[in-house]
Amino acid sequence: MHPSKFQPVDSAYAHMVNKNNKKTVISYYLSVIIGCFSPLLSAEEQNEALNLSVEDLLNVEVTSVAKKAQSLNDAPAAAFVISNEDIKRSGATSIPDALRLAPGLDVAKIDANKWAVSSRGFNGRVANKLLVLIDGRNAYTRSFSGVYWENQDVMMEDIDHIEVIRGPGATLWGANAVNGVINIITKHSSQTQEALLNAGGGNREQGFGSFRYGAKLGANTTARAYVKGFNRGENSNLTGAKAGDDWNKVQGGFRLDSRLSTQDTLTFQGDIYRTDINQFSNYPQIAPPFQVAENDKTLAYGGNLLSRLQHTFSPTSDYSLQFYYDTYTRNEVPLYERRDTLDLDFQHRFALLDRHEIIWGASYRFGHDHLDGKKILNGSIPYNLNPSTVNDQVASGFIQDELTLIDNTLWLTLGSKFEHNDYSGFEGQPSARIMWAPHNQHRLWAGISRAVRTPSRAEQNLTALTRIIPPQAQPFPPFGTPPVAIISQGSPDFRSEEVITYETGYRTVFSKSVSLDVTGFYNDYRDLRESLPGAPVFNGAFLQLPLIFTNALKGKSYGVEIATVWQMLDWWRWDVNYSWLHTQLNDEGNPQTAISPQQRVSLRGALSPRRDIDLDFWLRWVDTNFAVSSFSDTYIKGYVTLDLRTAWRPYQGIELALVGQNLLAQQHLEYVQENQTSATAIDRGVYGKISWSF
Amino acid sequence: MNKRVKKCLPQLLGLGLLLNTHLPMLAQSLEEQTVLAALALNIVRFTTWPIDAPIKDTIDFCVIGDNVVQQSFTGIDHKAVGNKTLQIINLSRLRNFEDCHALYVSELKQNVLLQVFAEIKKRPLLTIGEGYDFAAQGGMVGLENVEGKITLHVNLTRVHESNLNISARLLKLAKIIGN
Repeated sequence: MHPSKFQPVDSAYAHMVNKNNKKTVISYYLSVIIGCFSPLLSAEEQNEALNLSVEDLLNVEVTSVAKKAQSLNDAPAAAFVISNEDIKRSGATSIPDALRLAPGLDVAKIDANKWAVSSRGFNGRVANKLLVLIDGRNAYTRSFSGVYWENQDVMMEDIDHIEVIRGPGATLWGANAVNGVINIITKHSSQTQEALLNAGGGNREQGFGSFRYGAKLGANTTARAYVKGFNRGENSNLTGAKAGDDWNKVQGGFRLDSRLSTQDTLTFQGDIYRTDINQFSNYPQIAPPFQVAENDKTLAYGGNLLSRLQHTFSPTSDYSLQFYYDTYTRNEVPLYERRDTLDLDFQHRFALLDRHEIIWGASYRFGHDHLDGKKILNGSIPYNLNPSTVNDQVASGFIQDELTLIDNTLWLTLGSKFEHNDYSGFEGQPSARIMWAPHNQHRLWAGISRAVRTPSRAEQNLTALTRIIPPQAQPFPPFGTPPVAIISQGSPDFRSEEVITYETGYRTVFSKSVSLDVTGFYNDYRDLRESLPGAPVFNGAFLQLPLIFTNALKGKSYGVEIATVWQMLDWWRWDVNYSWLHTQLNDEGNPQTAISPQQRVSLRGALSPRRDIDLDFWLRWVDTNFAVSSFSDTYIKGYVTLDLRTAWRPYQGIELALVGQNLLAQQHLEYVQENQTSATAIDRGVYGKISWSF
Repeated sequence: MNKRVKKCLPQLLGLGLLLNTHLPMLAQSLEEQTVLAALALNIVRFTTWPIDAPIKDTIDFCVIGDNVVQQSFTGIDHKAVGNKTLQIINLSRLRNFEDCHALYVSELKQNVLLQVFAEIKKRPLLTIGEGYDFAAQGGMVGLENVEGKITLHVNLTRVHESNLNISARLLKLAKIIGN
């Protein structure tokens, strides 16, 4: 092109450069696009392998580092797997902290000994729409419909993987798997045959230790036993004063796996623990100053025993029969709680005709509880449950058919759970899912499901003094209003909350080293819990205003969850998760439900520059959060935080690690509990750890 | 300012591409699944089926594995094995093993795997899998990753029970399980 006479040369030149640049940019983009759709394994590498002799193939160094970035989950659901290695490299010392590795989960630490964990919103100390199972044992309690995370622990090194399913999982796992299911799976005892000793400490993790020993008991039986303990220090409150939330725990357990015949295996396992928890509690009081504070000590202990028999008829048919007993006792200052659970579960999988894989099952659960309100220091009893002891039963059955419509390409999964419980009667929880694999690098799925969250014991039987509104000298003295006691009141009419969920997802591996998993969902909720005022009663001294649990609330939520893995170099992997959530409830002017952060980002880099050295960094951003509590509602500011870990293995079997947690600020607030404790910040923490396996 | 960004764009994109290990690696090491697939092809080449085995023009090689395994085996699809051609069949369901002449199992729960072996019994079906245990528990060839290199384990008893024959040249490179 010839520059025009009237055109400044500079500009014309610039135009040409731009054009050239455009060409270059286009060619780069083309190469990027080609790169994106190249096969998992490069053709050169495949040819190179095929040209080698067997001798050379047996001598060549092989690497499988990219495996995680290439594997696509085949479940027609928003499933994510946290591996043992991920947990180790995150530096997490508890199950809820490890759950931050999964996209879409809202994990917030309330204080040193309490967590709020939920999926797709509705978070709380006892978040009631997330089901949690540890090796098939339900950790979700009927008492308050949720999980006491401080009670749930395993030897972290013995976790095989944690399977996180966002969205309803009720068809297989039953009620309360409304917005998600977490399956914590520990290793088979044959994989923990060495002895392992861990010890460490720091400022928040003041001291911890664990010991596991594995052994072979005969030709077909392996076993392990462990003991662990820790002491975790207190955080500070927002004014910088000590928060009084320190606690300690000691726990032990075992697992035994035996092959009875080529077709039968038996697993037997159990745990026992004791926890001492300190907390600084606030209680409402009728007399001035209308609120009292005290240092409370909680003693919690419990245990479980589980056995599972599995019989395999053929590659496509097996059944398992599982039985467990679980007990826990929480002796808290305002409430004594004990619960015993017996559970029997049967599942059978088989192939039918040529295209159906059927799985069906039946289970029965018996629960016995004792919940007693106790006196606080001023002599009042803020909580009461009537009756104080209840036996309850849940009987259920389910059937699911995975139908192959086109071999290796299209599957339809239909199923439903049918359950009867003593609190809400009969519940049906069906789901339909479809999965399409147009190519082995692409998976598309969609599903529609119904799930329910069954009533808790508290929602039907609790009476709790939650707040006192002090007397008001209005309109002018001596006229005024008396103190008002706000009393949360359970109702036998409270029934299940319900959701209909629409989900769709796409997974792909779009180069040899990058994978992407995107899920979109829309949840339509009804019969959600809302406390509505009942008739006030004046008893001469104060006005009692009951707030009765009802199912008046409706709402919807929708969002997107993205998980990516990029194996940038053989020794450097990135894990990036992003989630966006919008929650909309028809509770204008009277918010009673916590709203989870709209956005969350987790950016993790795992570097292994040498075989004996790990370097990890983990940056998290959490958007503004809204927590409701009986004292006040709190908008919790968004925060950015960083964890770092470095580990060195100087000798075979020995690892030294140094971990920094929440390093970017002295303290930050993540969540405020619904009642009793006030806002507690999470402090910066550093700990060192030594592991010796022999 | 805008110009500068535009000037840098190709370089930035180039850097992005460079960091993406898609560029051919200076291969001192190879992807494990690629090596396993190449070994599987070689094992088939060193195996002789009994004369009465129902083999026509193709050796049907069934594969049980995830998307990564399936992808790596497409690399050996249609390769020549003597005067026959190898044909990869991805099994999505654990049955109809009688249609396979060879079977590669990437990962299966132990209880299911044992029943797969029970179902195959003494049929002339070459079984290849991952790990020592695969061969020790009733498979024929186990490929084990021992500190970054693949070791071959061959269960000769199982091979002979099925009237298959694996060439001595390959057996020399393998660890033999049993007698």
